Amino acid sequence: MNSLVPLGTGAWIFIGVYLFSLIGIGFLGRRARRENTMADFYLAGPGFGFSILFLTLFATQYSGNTFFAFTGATYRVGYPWILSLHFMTAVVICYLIYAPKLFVLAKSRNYVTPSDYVQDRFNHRGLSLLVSIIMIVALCNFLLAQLMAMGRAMQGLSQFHGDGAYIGGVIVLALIMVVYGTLGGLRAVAWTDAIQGVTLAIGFAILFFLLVDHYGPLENATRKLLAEDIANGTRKTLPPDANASRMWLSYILTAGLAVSLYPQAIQRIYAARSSNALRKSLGVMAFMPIPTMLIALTAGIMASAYIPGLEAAASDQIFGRVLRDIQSHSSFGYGLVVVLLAAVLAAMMSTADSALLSISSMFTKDIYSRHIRPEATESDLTVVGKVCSWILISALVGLAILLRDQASLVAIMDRKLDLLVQLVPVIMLGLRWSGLRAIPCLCGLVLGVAVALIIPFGGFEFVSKGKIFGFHPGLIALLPNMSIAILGSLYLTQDMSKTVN
Amino acid sequence: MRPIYIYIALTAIGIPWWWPNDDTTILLGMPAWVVSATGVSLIASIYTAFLLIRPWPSSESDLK
Repeated sequence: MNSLVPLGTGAWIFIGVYLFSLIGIGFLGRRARRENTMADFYLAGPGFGFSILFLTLFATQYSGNTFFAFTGATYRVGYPWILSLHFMTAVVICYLIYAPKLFVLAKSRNYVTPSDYVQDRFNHRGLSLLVSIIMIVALCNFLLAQLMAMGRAMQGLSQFHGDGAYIGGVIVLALIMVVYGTLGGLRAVAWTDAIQGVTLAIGFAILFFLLVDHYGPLENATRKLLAEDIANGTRKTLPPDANASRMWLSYILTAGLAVSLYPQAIQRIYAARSSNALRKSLGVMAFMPIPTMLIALTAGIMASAYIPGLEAAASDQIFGRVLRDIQSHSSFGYGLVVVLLAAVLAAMMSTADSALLSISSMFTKDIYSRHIRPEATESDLTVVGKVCSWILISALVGLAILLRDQASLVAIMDRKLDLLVQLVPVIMLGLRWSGLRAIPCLCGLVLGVAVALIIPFGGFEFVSKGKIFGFHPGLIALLPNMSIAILGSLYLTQDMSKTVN
Repeated sequence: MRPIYIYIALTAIGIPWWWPNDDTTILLGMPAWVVSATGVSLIASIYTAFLLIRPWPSSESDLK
């Protein structure tokens, strides 16, 4: 967003009012509280009906940063980034594997965190603790990336490009987020998600028509890129080759499985008021990748054709360049961009607050209550959860400020999908196969996590851009993980039946 | 047919590995292989929505 035309005072007032009004939603969430329990705070008591549930699922799966990252990726690789459409659809398909059964169990056994299911299913404290730790580490990484993205967005929006705007942006936005999150819990988070979701959906639908109006038909951009492909040997309009096709398959499986296992997504399944609301919400979610990804793809293709020349990291700013073109096109375009920027900032916050709330619930319920102070009451635990949110956000804000010039370090830490996909046997297989046992799952999980981390950081010659033959380390590590879980469980079952005989 | 086989078939068609490497056909303003991939994704969305809106197991006993 470094490239945006400086915003006027009116635009800043609008963005400020929009963001601070989120605190008001936190107060509304607090007023709607029915009891001082973890289920009420973290799962909104009886839960959400179709519309709020759908919008919060949408805002959880698509962050404001998605548009910047995906438009930037399309700008760099061209039409082959249509693979994002496939992996975002795969996420909803993967919910099918476990959501129906988990929802029924969650309602009958009062689960609050994903590890509540693991403990209930396997009755093994070590396994449930490891699952919680993996989820917390993955989410801390995710939260840190969102905080840094917020800082960069504020830096780009302001006319001062120094560290002050970044530091101030991270602190103010994180403060607003933690205030409404700790006031209203999941209610406040989901309600703000709903506002963000509606604003983004309407804003980006209008943006699509403005893009075509400003740059001309998509076909012109495609033909321009095609001519460049033929002249320069690039492949921005041509079908993927064999290696790229393997990468497509890897992305579809890894992102589909891992993103569907985001703890905050699992908790939204728990928070559905009824199976009817959940079925309808996920049913509509199945169609959301098409409009969302096609708008990001169109913006990226038009930018690639008409705003060439940005390289590597700078290309992630290309969505900002497109917005600037729209902004200077007409006063309607200027107004639309101001609203979109406010919504994008708020969407980054809403993605981050979901992660923060989820981490706080897992620390409080899975670690503090289960291992440190089992006698704590529900109201004690709610207080501990809120304190945890404040301490964690303070630490991550500090880290986001310290690491502000080290984007590559954050990229190295960004292994959340490779980690989360290791939970497939415990959660998905555990729900589908009653023969799965705790010890083989634990051994498989430890090995899977180790392999997923050793491959990218081991300095192996056969690893190219963090992948082997186009496949993600996490997907490769899932093979031994799953094999140990299945074969070990079969062996234990056989051994047990021999003993009984 | 079990859904898993349908999804495997959709994945195999949706990834354009079978499309000619140097094809330059343009359809609806996009390369034809992009339209094909989008179409397969739409079919996957419709089929997934169909599976999702069917009744789910309503009690814990249904899970066993």
